[in-house]
Amino acid sequence: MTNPPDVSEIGLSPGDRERLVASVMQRIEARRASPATVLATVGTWALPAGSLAAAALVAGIVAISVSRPPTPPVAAAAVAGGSFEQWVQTGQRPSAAEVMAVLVAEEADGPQD
Amino acid sequence: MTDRVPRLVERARRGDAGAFEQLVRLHVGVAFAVARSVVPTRADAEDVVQDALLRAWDRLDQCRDPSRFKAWLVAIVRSVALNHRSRERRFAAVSLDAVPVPMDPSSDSGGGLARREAREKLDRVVNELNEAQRAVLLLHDLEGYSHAEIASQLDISNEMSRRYLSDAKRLLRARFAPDEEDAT
Repeated sequence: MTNPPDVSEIGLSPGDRERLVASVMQRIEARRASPATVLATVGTWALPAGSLAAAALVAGIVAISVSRPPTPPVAAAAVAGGSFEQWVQTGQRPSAAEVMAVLVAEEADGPQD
Repeated sequence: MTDRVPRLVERARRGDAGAFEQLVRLHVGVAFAVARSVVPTRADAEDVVQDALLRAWDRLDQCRDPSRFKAWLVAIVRSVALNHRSRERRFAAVSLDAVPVPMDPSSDSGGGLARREAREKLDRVVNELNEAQRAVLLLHDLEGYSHAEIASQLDISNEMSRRYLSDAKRLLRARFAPDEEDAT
């Protein structure tokens, strides 16, 4: 009578197990490290009970600052240099805050020409 | 082991990823066997196991009785596997099993090809079994479960577990008999 084949051939080898465990744990670590998780953790643990509104506020502020793209280096340089011409030349579109910073600077320095 | 699992579950619930990793190591085999009994390929089963373990991590608070963590996890694996299978059926016009896999020449050495062919044949024959036969066979032969444990996990009687295993082995024997080998 023929023996049935060894079914363990289609099971997980020790190497497969390690790979699978590592993959699951990596995905869990990635989730734990995401900004949303960090914010939730901070909101839950770092602030005293009853200050959920404050936690939401902090989470909102950090989320906005995380989601806002960094100021391009050229635009930052333009703000530092205080020149609308530089913005026009580089094609960078300054934010309202950057425009205000330049206007204030120009007003303090007086007319350029 | 009986006391260890509930303690690990409690620690994992408090966010201890190391404790959850130990739970994963203890249960990845049974999770794979259950997943493979529902989905048709090894790759599908691995995807299911990963998704199910992530879901378990997210929902640890819903495991009401930590001493029955394994049963709770098996239920999640089965649910994820069934969803996976129905999704695949909906979108796959051609079964992936019917598509020949291109061979990587660097991966074969000596008897590697023969072994891979034998494994592919075994995969095909296992897919001929019905779901219950497959689940019993894989839990028994891959994970070394007793019929009592299988009966408890699958919610069937000991006798049914024995019968499913016997039917499964009969089919395997028939498919791997020398005459059948010549025919394939």
